[in-house]
Amino acid sequence: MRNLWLVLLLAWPSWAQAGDPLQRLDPDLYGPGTLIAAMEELSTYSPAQAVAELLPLLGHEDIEVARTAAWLLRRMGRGPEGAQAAGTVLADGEASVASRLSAVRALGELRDSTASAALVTALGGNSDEALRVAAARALGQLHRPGAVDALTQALTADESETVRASAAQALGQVPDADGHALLSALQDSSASVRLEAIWSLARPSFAVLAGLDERLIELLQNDQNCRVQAEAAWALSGRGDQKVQAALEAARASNCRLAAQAASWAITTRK
Amino acid sequence: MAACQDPFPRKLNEELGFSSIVFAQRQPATNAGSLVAPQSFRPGGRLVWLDPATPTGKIIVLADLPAGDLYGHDVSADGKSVVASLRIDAHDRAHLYGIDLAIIAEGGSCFVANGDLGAACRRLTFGPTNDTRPTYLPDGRIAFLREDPQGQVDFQGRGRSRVLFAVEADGSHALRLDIGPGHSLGLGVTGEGQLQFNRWTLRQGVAQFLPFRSDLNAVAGPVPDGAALAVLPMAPQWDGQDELLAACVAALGTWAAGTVCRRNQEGQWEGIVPGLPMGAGCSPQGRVRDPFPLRDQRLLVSYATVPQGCLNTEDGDHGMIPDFGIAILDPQDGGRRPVFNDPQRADLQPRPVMARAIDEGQAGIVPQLPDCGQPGVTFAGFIMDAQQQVNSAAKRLRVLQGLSGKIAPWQMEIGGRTVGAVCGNGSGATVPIAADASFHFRAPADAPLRLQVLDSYGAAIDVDPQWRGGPDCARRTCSGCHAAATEAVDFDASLAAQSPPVDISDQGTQFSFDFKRDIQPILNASCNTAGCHDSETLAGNYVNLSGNLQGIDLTDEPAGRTSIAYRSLLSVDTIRNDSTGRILVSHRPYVVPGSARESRVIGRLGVPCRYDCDGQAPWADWAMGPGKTHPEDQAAWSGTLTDEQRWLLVDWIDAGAPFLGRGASP
Repeated sequence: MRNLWLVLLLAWPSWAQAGDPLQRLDPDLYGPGTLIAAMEELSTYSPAQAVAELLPLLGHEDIEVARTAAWLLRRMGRGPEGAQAAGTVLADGEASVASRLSAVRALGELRDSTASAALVTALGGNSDEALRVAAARALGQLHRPGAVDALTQALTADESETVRASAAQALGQVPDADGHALLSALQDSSASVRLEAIWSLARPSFAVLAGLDERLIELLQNDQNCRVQAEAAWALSGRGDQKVQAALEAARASNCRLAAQAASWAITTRK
Repeated sequence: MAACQDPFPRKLNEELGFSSIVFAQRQPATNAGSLVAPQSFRPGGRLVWLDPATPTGKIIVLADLPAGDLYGHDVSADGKSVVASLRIDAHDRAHLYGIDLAIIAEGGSCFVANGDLGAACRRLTFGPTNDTRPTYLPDGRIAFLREDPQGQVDFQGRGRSRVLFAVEADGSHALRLDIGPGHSLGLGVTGEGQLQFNRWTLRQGVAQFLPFRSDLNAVAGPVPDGAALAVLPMAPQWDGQDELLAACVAALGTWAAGTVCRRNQEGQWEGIVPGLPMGAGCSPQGRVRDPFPLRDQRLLVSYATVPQGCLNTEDGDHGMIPDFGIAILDPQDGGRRPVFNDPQRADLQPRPVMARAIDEGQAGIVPQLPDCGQPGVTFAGFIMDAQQQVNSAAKRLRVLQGLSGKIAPWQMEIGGRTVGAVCGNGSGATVPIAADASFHFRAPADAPLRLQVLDSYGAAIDVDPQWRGGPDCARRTCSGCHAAATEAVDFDASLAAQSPPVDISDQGTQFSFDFKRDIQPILNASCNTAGCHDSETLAGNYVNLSGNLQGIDLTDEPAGRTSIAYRSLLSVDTIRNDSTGRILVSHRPYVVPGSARESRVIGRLGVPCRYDCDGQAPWADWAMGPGKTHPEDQAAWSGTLTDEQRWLLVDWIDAGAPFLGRGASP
């Protein structure tokens, strides 16, 4: 029996690659698993003929299919064409929300400079919360300047805490953010937003932001949510002076068990 | 298959040494593979304790995650604690939690109001990292996989690398155990007390699963452990019979399928369950995940079937959802006894709650790093050729550090070639190789490093196939790529050992190339000139990404994420058949990232001698010398390159020819 399995193992690659993967990119015939497997197989040689089959998949209702198609187009150097196709799906008012969500995710994965404008529009002018969340995250994924104003607007004014939290995360990823909007977001009413703001502000690019230590200490001592207190302790573990050390020492006796654990962890790490 | 419906005996403790199990319950997935995909987030998971482990046993919820999910867990060797990777909601990250089973048994809880923890739980990791797949080590620490948003990008540019870490049981003293980019996967502990893990990475342009071993502190660093894998063994377990067991899933396509594998004497993994294929092919008899060896050679597993199923990547095509339950599997005949199945959830990763004896091999002394009082990891050894002879052509070592996400979010390797910063002060910073082929230097800790052996002209003649590195005070030794990797032979008597290590460990002195800052000015002065490679003349040609012939334009105009000049130099000069992908015509591109010697542009410009030039030809014989045909070297040409400019081009190409500029993409 063992020999039989060895034979099967040796034969495995030919099973997996049986047939032309280009023929398995038809979403009318194949489901997400088959489509994704075909795209990963195509990534080994990236035939130009696949581009026409991949572009429609950027609006596939399965987000992993769209994401994989975008990744493959990017590897093939076809980012601009992909951004145009995904932007068309996003702007199509008759497309399903699932398709438009996939298109937004694809725009982030394509990482093409031409994707920014469509994402900024989606973030600021869309009534669907999930689309705005995805747009904010995709703008962060682009790692490009020019989205700070739109993300700051979303962080400060969007009624959805999920959108605001996603904007806080993205502002930690774009290169031209100055950190002041994130500093203000530490007072957001949503714990999720405050958490994302802490994690973004802990990036090295904000290391010298004035007033950050004080705000983190304030969160550590007074925030109503123990997870926020704990992550403030985490952020302080890599910063500061005796004032920070004293705040962490005091937090070891916090009524929040999680914050006390985090403070102990932070002190150990600082040593 | 044997009968599957025998009820499981109640007195498990007499039969198998345990009476209860801990397992994960996740929302079901449309295909068997996505349940092991690391990025999969399925809100509504929970970690449960089934006592006794029978279909009618009592379910005790250890952690309820109505808006969250979970990514692996383990039971401590004394059977009293559980460590789990939990993500509370969509805005949380996966963090490690320690759970005290005695407090849970007394009615304690893990999560309470206001985001706080109950008395039963302790959080072990913090911050925006995703920490998953925790495994208790024989010394009581916990190993896990960390995905850091500011860590190295993975080799496919699809996310961050997941690398192996270990922490104390209280979450302190995080130690990075693995260095390479890509994904560390399949973590397990062998009978000799070594870590066994697989790394999914790029090797010579091909994505492969590569097996590695390491001591528990990675004092000697991870070492390759056999050939590349066609299947991916997940979470290997030592079976007590000198063999490793694991769930094997397909390496190509999705993370589909799954059976139980055993590693044979040749280091290959072979399926051991009759009727269950190893690859992604159809399996009407179901699929297996998460095998845990029991004392009677049977396996505690998660087992899935579908009514008329063919469990593989195509499950979702047919609207079938695999139903994973917990079973005890006899690998001899494939028979299984159901232990528990919640048809509304996927029941995964069962672990018996019992004290486990630590094997004698595992209880051995864990190697410890010395406290050297200095930052950095020290490298010492010899550069030998394949016959273990001194390689007289080797004059210097260049040390490249893989770029972190902070510097270059998407670049790590281009076309299978390393992209990195040069360690040391300036682009030409190198480490000397002594006359006896010995070298000795100290490099940055906790960073992926790759060594290049340079000739007298400063060009790489050999590249270490492995990423290497280690924590502060670690020492990495070797006596040639084909010799034992753990100790340099007679290094103490070598010439390099007579001096302190060359210190290139200061992160602040590393030189990261920027094409627009460092290379384009050279092109503008000497190449992008009227009548040559400007946008009007377009002297020469290459085949662009669309397969069309195009003139060489070295102007400083943006093109996508890079520039026209960069694209002209790096475009792969290949014409393929559009439908088959078969290569019809192929030339080397003008710039081959990682290899100045193979780059046509260097061949046409020439390289003067740079190191230890006594007895060397003044110009490299693998490139043109002065006075040859290319216009820039004609005597009347005003744009002739300086020696330093030629060496800078060599350094840039050998470092992977990065474009950089934040957001640059391969």
